[in-house]
Amino acid sequence: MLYGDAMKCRLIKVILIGIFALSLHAQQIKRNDAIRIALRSIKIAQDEATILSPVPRDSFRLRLVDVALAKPTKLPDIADSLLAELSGKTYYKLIKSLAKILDLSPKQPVVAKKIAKHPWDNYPKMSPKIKRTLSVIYDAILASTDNLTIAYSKLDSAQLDTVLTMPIELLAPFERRIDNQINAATALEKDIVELEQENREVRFFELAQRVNQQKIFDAAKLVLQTTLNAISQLKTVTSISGTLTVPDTMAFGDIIYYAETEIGPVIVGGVGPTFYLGHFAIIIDLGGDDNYLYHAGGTTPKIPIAISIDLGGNDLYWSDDMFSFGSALGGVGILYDAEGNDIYRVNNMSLGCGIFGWGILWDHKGDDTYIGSGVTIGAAFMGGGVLIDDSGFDKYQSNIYSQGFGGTKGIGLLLDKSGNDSYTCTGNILDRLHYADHYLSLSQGVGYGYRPIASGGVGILMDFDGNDVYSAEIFAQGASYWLGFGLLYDRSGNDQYNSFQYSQGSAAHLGIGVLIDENGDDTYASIGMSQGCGDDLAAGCLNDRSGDDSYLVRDISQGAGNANGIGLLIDEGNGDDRYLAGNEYNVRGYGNWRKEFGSIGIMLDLGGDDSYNGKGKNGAFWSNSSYGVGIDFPPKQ
Amino acid sequence: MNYSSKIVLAILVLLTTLIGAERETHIKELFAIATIGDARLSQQSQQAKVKLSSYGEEAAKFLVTQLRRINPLKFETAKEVLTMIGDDALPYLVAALSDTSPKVSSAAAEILGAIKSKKAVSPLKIAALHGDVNLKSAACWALGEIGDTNAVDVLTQALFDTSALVRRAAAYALGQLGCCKNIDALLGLLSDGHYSVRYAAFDALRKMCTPKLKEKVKLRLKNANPPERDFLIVLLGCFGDEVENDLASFVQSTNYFERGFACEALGNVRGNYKVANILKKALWDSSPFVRMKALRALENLKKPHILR
Repeated sequence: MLYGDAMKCRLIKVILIGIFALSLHAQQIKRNDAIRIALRSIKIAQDEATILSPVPRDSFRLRLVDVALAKPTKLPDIADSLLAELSGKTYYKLIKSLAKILDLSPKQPVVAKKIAKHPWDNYPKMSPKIKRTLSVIYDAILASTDNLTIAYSKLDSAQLDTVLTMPIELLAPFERRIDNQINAATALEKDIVELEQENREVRFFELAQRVNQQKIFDAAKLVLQTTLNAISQLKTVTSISGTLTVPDTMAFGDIIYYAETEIGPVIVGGVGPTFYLGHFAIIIDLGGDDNYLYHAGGTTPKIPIAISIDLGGNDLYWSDDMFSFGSALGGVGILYDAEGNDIYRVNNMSLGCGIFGWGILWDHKGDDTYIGSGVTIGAAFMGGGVLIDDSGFDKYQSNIYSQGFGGTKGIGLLLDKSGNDSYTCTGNILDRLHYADHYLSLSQGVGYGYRPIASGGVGILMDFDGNDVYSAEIFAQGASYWLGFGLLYDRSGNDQYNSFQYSQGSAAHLGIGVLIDENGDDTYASIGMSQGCGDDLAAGCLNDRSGDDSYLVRDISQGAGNANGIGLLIDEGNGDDRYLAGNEYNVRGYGNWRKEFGSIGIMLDLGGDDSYNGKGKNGAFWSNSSYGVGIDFPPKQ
Repeated sequence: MNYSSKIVLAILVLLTTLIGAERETHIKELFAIATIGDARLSQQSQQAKVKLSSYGEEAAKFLVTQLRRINPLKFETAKEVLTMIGDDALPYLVAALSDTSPKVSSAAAEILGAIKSKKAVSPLKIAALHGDVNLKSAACWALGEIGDTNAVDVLTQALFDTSALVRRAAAYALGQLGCCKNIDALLGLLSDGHYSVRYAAFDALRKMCTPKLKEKVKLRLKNANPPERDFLIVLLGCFGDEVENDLASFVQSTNYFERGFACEALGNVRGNYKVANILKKALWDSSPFVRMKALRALENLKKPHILR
């Protein structure tokens, strides 16, 4: 009886706690309602809080950027729709969704021509399954080559040369060092060179408009679809080894088949270790700890479409050549690695990099290390650059334009699905206009445009699981510059975000930067222009949806609008958060006046027992500017 | 003219040309140093800007050509130095208003506004009506900065432009001029589709606190919806003691936003102990929004009177 009473008591307690928790949940104001209240408190209706661009629309402007500029207070919803578009689908559909974001049509039908005869048809020492797989990839490459020819048909050879070499010059990560003292003649010489460069850039973007991006994507789509089918076919292939000898400048080790073909060299490696030294159009490796020391799944001028499939082993991918390992310049490069703890070490423009082309690197399993310098690890300019890592504790290390970087008319995606990962961007180009000792990152979900000639692209970094560490300097972690869109979306884990400036949901000059963190107790640290900051007609948004979070900054951050920009910091959930700022005045719901109207700054904390240094208080409204407001909900009505 | 005089004249012409060429090169060098774009050389850059501006008209001629530059640093520096040069740059800037590039023409208009020379009013008035969107808005803004009431008609016309950029600049400019002729048009902009236009109209109106405006505001308040209504409530505060009762009734509203904005308005009603008491009472309002507005209003009452 006594036992029964105790049980009843416990049950009632559980029910009461449940009701209390539910009531708390019910009480929590919805994000959009909170934004509406904040805007009303500064006399603005939600639909009209738009950014009016005084800049004429160029042909590179993406619809996504226009939508985001028209609805900057809906940035979290826009980010959610992007997540829905990109997650939970096959990778073929994901790539098609990326094309849609680039305003390309994903539905153009592409059919591979049937080739009557393939070089391996009569080769006896290879299983029919591998032969069939090779054949379908071969046919797809041939058909796609036609698409690439059409894509560049409006350019003569000199123009094509300009189009394909200029991006390398524009994005080459080198630092223009200047002495601490400069004489007049040197400065003038530099100015003349810069003027020439400006004219060349204008010419380049004029020519770039003539490239048919749709046809390049059609080529990529066909090759990708075929490669994905081939991968599933190859998983059922019996493990075999080979002893074939091939030219030692091309490969050595366990080799089953090798041939020079119309599309370039084709090679099949066995389950033992193989060293790949040459450039191949198709590599299929059935397993073993392999070494790829040149463009595996990367393009060269002679081989514009390259596919590399590795089915197992702890592999080393090491190349200092550009466009290696799932990278493309003017074509399509795909690299798939099924499993193993792999090391990828490159210099520039590799590891899921696409310039006037599509570069895709997909690593399915293992704790992997990715090391590159610039335009790497999911980076694109006038095309798509994708790096997908399905599992494992991974390390990403680079210098600039990387880890989800989208330059003009480009979409760069770094998607990591699980594991405790570290993302580091140390920077190798000094932000010399502003600092003597701080570097540009332009990485970790950054959209970037060429001000004022060409609008920016879309850079996305998505991490679905694990306790992750993000480290960078200037322009990083959901940031953007000049009519671009940058997004960092982290779905779960206790994450750490460290940076210097223009980061963590920040943008400048008509850009859009968003950082969404769905779960976990997270820490955000930066110096300024960060954590939901829009500078000069730009919009930045940091939206953390749950957990006990810490926010540390110096100034113009945590929901700050500067020079007619819009900044939003929204912390949802019932977490007990801590907000620290060096400067009390221009943070947490701050909008300043510039030229003829005000910038908007909104900081919202939707629940929990929070602590603030200086401005801000539990259950309060605060503001010290006409166009900025901070609210800690639930307000005590 | 004898032979030797001719030689002397030729030498003089040559010398003048050489000196001119040298000065031209020096201007270019100074511009190059001013735009070197390195934080470590910022002192040298600043010095170069000052020196460049001392070349007056000669530098202006060169700098106007630099407004075409694509590099944002070059473009912004040219604008900055042209503003520093001031009146000497006027002929080149006025000519640049009719440049085929909207970037150059709108930049010229902005610089003319920053220079604040009344000589630029006539060309700016033409630009405010006939340019592209960016030029029109820049010209309106410039006319406001110059503050010549001759521009009122043009600016009033610009209030009805299809572009919000132009409407905003025109409203701002009329506020700068403080001319009370356009009250109806500005009141109409309080229900504009873009927040920045409404804010500009509101800022202009609160500088024109005439009895006529008071009556119009009261009349509009009867049917206005937020956010226009919010602006109208705050605008009432500009009329001081005369609207104390109206605002006191808004402080009793069931809508906490209206109560809050009424407190904001009362923050402009100075020297009235009743107002201070209403605000002190509002510090105990159930809404944190009202409490914040009341606190800010009380702080405002303690400050010297400055608009914005």
